[in-house]
Amino acid sequence: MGAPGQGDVSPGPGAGLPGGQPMDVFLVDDHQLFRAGVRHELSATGRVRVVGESGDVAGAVAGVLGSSPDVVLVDVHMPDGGGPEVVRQVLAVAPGVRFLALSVSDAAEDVIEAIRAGARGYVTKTISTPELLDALETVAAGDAVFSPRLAGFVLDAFAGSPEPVSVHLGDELDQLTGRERDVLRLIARGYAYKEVARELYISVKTVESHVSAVLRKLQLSNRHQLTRWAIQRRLVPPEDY
Amino acid sequence: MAPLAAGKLGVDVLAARAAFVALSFCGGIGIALYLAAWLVVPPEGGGPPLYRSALADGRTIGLTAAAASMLGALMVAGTVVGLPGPLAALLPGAVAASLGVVVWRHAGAADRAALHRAAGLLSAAGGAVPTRRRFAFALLRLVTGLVLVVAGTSTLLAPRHLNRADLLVALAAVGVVGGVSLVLAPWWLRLGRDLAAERRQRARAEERAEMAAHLHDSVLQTLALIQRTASDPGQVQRLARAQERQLRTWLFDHGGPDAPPAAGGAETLVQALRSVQQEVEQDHGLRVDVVTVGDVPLDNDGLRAVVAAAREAAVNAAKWSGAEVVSVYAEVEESSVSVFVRDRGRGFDPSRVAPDRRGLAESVLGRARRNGGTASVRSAPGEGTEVSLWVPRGRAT
Repeated sequence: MGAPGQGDVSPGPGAGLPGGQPMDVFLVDDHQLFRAGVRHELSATGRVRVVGESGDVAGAVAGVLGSSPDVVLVDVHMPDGGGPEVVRQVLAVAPGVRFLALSVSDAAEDVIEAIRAGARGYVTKTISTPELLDALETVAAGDAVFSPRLAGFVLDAFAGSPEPVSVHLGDELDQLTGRERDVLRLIARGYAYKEVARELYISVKTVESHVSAVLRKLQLSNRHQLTRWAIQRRLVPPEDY
Repeated sequence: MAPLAAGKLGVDVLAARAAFVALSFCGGIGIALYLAAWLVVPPEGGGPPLYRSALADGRTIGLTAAAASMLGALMVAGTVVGLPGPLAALLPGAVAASLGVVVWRHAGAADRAALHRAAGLLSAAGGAVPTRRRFAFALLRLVTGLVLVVAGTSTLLAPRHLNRADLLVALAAVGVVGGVSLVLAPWWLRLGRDLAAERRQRARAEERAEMAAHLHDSVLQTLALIQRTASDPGQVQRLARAQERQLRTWLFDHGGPDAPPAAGGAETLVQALRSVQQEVEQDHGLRVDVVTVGDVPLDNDGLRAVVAAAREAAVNAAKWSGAEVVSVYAEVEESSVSVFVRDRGRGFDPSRVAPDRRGLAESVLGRARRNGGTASVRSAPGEGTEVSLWVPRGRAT
């Protein structure tokens, strides 16, 4: 799924890749068949060069550090801690590497964990190749990829009025601004960044910076409700909501 | 109640409680006194004492009088037949039972809740989930046990019976009960543990069976179907998508259309939208993305109208837009619910819709508006279509 219409988000000239040469992508997935399929489809577009792939955490960390790709496409579910572990280990050494998480699961827990580990976006495996390509380019350009579902999760997790005006420093991490909410709502409704920009009378760049700000809050917020919310969402049967 | 009575009489609470308990062993005098106090002492926080309302209720007086006369008859009969001791000793207990009826019938909500809680605790001590039935059993068990204990001690302690031999008998009885408990304790404990282990195992086996059944009914069937329709890519895709959606819901959401309805029997908004998603995907072969923030039981006409309108809008998108994806977004806010249905299809000019093609306006928009909500359609040729629905949440039942 991903963002229908991410296809419309033209990443702009040179997004990710000044000069127009293909973008270097590293694949991390424990399903060999899936890796082969993605490698084939991405390479066929001519806009991507797959510089390496791995099916386990240790191999992935070494491979990514050895090949310095533009984007790492990483599966969330793998043995030995999965994708989030790869992200954490690589970022501890090379903080500049950009990750796009990929998974069959739509579970809030997995999505949030991948983002908290440091991934700059999240797409599901049913995503179409053009959509995946656009998502990769967006991440390579340093922006965040928010699918409608991820936007919905964030709105849900940050729902309700934040705790009354406490004046501690860093509290702005625990709540979304009104504008960020507006942007996320439109993304959740299926709007592409470009359409969000038009709807709110702001530039695409501004939309991207709002989304990146939300991503940062997702990654850094101490808001314990975030984890609790994700876990509850998984554990509590709907009738107990 | 003891604290209240104690307060009225100016006695220490603990002393009052101890006195009640001690007196209870003398044929239940304590219980009778306790209940009498409950009737006479005004409740905490003011208000008339219970006996006032009891006196005003003819049925209660009738019931109590009937019970009292029956007990009297029993006692007379007992004396005639020659069973004076135990029956006479139980007289206070009988009075306590009658008073208990009066208190139960006229106790306020707070008092009743306290009684319920006490009984609930006892049944929970058995390790069982408290249900109405179990609750009744626990109450029955408690009352029977108390009657036996009170009757036993009263009989033993009745003045005419109190002599050395009886004390010895009593001691022997205590000894036997204690000894048997000690000997059997490990066995009981083991029995309890075995039972728990067996329950766990059974639960696990059931879970495995359920999973196998589910995989068989859904995944295996679909794979078989896919093999048979391999020549038709559209059909294969449809099957795979429907199956994926179903499995995903089952694995990750613990809910969805297959889940049992929420408490109170009302389906929730999210469940209803998931059903819409499945239906439209199956019938029209396009993808429906559903994103929801929050959830609410579908317990009033406004919400049901919104779901129906969303379904209509999604079906319209499937039929006319030519888009491959329809996005449905629902957000539950404090006092309202918004639902958006959007496609990126060919769109249309809303001002130029022929009056005879009133499907959208009538069924989608009218439905929502009739229930106090608002609805609007935004579309332009080449720009796709978005239907926005908004409805106040109304009073949940």
